[in-house]
Amino acid sequence: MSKIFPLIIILIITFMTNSFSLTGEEILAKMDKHRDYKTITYTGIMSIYVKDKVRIKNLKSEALGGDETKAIVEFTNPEDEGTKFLMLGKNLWIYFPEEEDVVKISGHMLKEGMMGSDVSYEDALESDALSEKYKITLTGEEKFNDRQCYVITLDAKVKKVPYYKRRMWVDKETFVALKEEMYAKSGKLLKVSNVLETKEIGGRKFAVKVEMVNKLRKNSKTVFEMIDVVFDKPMDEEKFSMRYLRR
Amino acid sequence: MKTLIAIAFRNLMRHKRRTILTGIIISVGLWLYIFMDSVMAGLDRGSIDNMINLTTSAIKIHTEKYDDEKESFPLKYGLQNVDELTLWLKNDNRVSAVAPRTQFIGELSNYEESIPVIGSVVDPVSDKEVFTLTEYLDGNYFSSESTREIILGKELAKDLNVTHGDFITLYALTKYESRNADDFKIVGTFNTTDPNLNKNGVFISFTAANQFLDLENTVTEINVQLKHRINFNDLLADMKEVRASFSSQYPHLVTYTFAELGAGILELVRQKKIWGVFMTLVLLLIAAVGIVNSVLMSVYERIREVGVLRAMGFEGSEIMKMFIFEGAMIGFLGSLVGILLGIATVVVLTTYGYPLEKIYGDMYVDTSGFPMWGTIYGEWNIPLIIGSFLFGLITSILASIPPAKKAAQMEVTQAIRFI
Repeated sequence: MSKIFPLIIILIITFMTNSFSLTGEEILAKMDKHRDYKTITYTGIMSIYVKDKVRIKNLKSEALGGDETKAIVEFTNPEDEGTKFLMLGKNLWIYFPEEEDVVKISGHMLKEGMMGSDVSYEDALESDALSEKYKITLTGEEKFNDRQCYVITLDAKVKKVPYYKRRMWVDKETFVALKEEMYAKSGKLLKVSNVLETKEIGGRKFAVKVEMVNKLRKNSKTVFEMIDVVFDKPMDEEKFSMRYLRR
Repeated sequence: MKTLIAIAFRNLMRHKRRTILTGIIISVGLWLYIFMDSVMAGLDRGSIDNMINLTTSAIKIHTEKYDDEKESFPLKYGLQNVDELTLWLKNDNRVSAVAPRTQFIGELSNYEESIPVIGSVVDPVSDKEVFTLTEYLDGNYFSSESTREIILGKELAKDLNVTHGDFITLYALTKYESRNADDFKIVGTFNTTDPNLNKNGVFISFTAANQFLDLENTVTEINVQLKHRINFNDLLADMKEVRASFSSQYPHLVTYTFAELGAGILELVRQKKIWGVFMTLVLLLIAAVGIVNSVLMSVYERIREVGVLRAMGFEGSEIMKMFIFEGAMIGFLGSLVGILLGIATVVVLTTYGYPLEKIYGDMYVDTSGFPMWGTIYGEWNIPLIIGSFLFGLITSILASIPPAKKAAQMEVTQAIRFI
């Protein structure tokens, strides 16, 4: 009896520990839930740092959440004024006001940096369920920026993935991914995104300032800041159409 | 008639200096013309050959889907049965070699900066038979186990501050459009006649690409080289025939000949030829003025002789014929010497060529595809040589008519007193 009792205690503790800890997929699901919205509107500032130069782009964005994201983005800085993006699911069109022409961004172009930034169109459009393409593993817990985080690793299950491997540092409390590393097939680190600021909006923590660092170029990064973020404001679906894009 | 020819000949011999001088003017004019034509035609052919031998090949074959999206070099639309297609092409006796290539878009990074590049995946053995990249190579070509070796343009290497033996990071999308970046050892650099290739061209082997790009031996283009033809139009005709015969066998594949691939350079050459004709006309006019002037001088110097001949009973028409014979003889001899010099020069140019690097040295000239270094060979233009001879002869005859006419119409007393 004296030998069996501690064993039972250990088994109970092990069972309880396992039942309370989350799996990688569960963490990802919670992240998605925290990011979920019906609609979102915001004003964005994109600062593109290349060497010692910085280019600022201002934009206004409205988006519908759900299974298929719909978004319309209009640039307001003088150089790009009137340039608009229309995203419908995984499709993207750009309207160029000077040429009065709409160009569909597809194939290889989706991998290019959006408006010369370090964020690719594909990064911005990513809406696939990550669990379908990646094997998600909780690989540890670490402190990042004084926040206790889950560290989850995503390893590609299929060949058609933007990055072969990703590592995310997810805030244990808010389920915001505070840092993400994106790796090439070879294992080389390609990009790192860091959340620089989060805000409480509509009862949830939301990343409002994020930097994306290109690891293949020195001093190359893009900082994206969202201001005046409003969730779940009623929105006219008509906006997300080619007709509106050309207007 | 014989007497007149004899007198005309004796007159030429009497005024040896003047005859030689006039002859030299005609000879030098025609020689320079033949020489320049050969050089210019050689430069054009050199540009075309360089383009065929370095980038386009004579015929290129893709799939239809690849062709629709060829600007983005999609890796997913590879050719099926590459070996069968290669064998079929090699059976055509106009074909000299066939090589597969797969192009891709990437970036080359030294972690300070990254530069966009157009990569070519090559089969090191067959590629050498179709393309002449190795002739411009400094360093080594791919080794037999070229898993992580890269060859790049000298300008690109200079921009990234790297050289042979250094490692550089190549970034590209795999066949499955997943991002990949890996370190490659620079085994060689090239400085070709194509500035664009030097600035943004990189080459890796299929062995390396199968790993790096998940390529699975995908070949997106087959490049065909044809046997050399002296006349470029014959080469174009061969291309057309080989393409027609290939397309009838494999109608689902898209084939391009150099006529389409090099349409830009061919149009440039055509435009140059139009300007060349215009320039030639101007040059010939100047040459004609020179010839007219020389013949005129020789006639006016001898007006007093005309008076004496008239006094001796020569008819005006006979005197006119005599001067025309003199003009024709000078024209014949001058033109003959001119074209012989021209032919000798073209023999040297077509046999030994002329090295452009000796003219331009190490100077970098962006000529947008036109070679400014390498050895350029002259071109034969037989119709032009015959035409030049006839031009020299006819111009000399025509040039002697007006002064001969004037001399023939002169009064005896007036001619004798002519100063």
